[in-house]
Amino acid sequence: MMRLPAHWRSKQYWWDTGQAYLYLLPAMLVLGVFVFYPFFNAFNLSFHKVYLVKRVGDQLIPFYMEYVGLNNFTRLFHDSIFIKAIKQTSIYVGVSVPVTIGLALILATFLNEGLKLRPFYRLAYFMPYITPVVAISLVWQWIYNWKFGLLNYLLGFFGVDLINWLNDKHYALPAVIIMNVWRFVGYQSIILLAGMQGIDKMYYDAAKVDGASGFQAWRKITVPLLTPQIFFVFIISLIGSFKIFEEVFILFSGTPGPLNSAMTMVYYIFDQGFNKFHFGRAAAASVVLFAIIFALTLFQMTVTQRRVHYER
Amino acid sequence: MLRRYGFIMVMAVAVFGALAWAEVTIDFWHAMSKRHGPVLETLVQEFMEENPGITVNLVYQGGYGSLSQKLIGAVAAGEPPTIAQQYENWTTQWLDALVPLEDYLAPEVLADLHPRFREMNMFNGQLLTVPFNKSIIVLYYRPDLVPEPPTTWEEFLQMACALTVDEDGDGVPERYGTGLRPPNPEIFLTFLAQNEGSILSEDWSEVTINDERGLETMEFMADLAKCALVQGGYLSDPFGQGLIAMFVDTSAGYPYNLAAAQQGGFQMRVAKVPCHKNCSSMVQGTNLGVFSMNQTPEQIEAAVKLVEFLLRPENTVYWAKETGYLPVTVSGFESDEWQDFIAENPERAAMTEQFLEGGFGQLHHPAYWDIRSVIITYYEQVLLGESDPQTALDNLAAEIEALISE
Repeated sequence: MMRLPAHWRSKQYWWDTGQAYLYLLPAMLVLGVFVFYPFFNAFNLSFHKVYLVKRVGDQLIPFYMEYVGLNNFTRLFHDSIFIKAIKQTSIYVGVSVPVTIGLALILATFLNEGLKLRPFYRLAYFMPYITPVVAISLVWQWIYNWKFGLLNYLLGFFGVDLINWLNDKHYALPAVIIMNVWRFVGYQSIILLAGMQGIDKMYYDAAKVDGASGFQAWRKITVPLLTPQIFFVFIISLIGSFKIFEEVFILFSGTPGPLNSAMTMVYYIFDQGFNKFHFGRAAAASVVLFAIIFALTLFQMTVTQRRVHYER
Repeated sequence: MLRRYGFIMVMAVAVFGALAWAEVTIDFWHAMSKRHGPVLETLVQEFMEENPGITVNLVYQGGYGSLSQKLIGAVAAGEPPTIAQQYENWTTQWLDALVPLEDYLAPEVLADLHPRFREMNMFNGQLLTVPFNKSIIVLYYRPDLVPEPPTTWEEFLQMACALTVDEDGDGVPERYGTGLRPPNPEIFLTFLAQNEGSILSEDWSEVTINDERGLETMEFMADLAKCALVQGGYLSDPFGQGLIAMFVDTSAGYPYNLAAAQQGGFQMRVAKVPCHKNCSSMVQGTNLGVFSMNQTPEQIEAAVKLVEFLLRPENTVYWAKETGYLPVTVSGFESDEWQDFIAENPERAAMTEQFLEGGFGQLHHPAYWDIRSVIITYYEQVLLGESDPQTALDNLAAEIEALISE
């Protein structure tokens, strides 16, 4: 007879374990229904063609799924708009993530330098993050107005010709990037600021004794000791940026920008699923998006882990 | 003893009475917001007063986008509402779940549906929906700049270019003759129909959009684009800002365009779209469909009753007058009430005339939304000068070909 581990025989053990699972149950239920089930079902859907309702014999079957193998995926990679969506999403992520973090780092540094009215600035920079994206996008639609917009007006002082931000295929994606850098830079700088304030003052004192300049101290002490926060912000914004959708949808009045120039992957998924009723294809596209984000996150984890310094 | 029997009698009458009043409840999903919602509520209230046994649950589902998503969810779950507003390209996704209305509606009601609308609501030879909030594409113009609206393509083009002014000569006009919105290919489809062209042949077996008629139309659009503000956003904004003198848009946009004109401090008028070989114009807006899926016969009967109620001449006219949409029945159009109304409201007269003369609807092909989407892609390329009409149409035809053979 197999021997059971000793603690299995303890009543207390089962009581504690049962209790723990009971506490976990509500969260597991919510996550299960709204996260895990849809997540796994998306994989299943991506191999099917879906009919909202289909008559089979004399029976009406809602949500009829027909197995089509890899058809949805091959169709996707033959769709130039999907390829364009991947390309543009990558450009968006590649530009907006580093720019936002760079600016946030600079901003946080200034905020950390005993600035007067710090609470005010902190609030001011945090405002865009807590404002609904719909409201932001509608306001920016006006800021970007090529004839009467604020941005072109300001650029006019520097002799820049009117830029048709929202209707020129060259400027549509940059317009989305600028808006979102503005939107997230405050949030990220607050996180980085918190990190900076947690760095022990003794390092700076020691640096001062050794005659390091302010910039040297920043480069050699602040930034390295801030890597956990930078890494966190990096991952979060990378994942978030890949999922960009609402900004595009509202900024371009329910279109993916002129000549699809602001078509992103999630916009594509939305369009396939909810405008065109291709649920299988939409699911396949979301599986591809998942694969990209997953691979990038794994890559980041392994590469950056070596460069992240934890103080303790 | 007698008293006891009396009590039982009273009870029996009460029970039978309640049965005769058998409560039927139906859900009616719609997307009519605060501008039109109250009008619909008034009509439904009146219907319920007339039919005390029927309770209609009017459910506002948000905009058309949310209505579509909620209907998708409901149909997929096998539990749609009894009656709902829907666009043709949604209807084609759940044809089997709808009641064929010809079997249910009274013959005089069927005969009264305007024939143009009737045709637009036929799917595979069956009447599956009835027109509800219907609008049509018309021409909006500023009388201070356009004393007489253009009536032909040639006049339209000529006037649009004459009205395009670039006084400071910086290459960016201060005002354009007209405006074109690529995400709104219904304008192109209107002109295509005016040139007797079509997307597909009658039997859907062949793509005809790149034939001679299609090419002529696309060339006209390319010419027009040279004197047009081409932008993705709604045209009411630049119109209000004085950037465009006239533009073609749906009649449902009337209140927005009028508000923009008032803000800009000028007058706005409505005319028919300039014509070519005919005066066709595309009809937009949703229809009402009654679901058979997961409904009791009583619910279906109640919904059909409601449809018949809404189609009565006095009701379709009331609806049209209050909302700005079109009446949908012959008797509605011909009623004295409507005739008197349009005599006093020239813009509504123009919309009515436009519909009666050339209203046509969406293609009912199940892949229509994909087709429309590729039309937008190439239409936009032509309007922005990225592609010439011939190349664009040939590429477009190839893509449509692939879509319909899928």
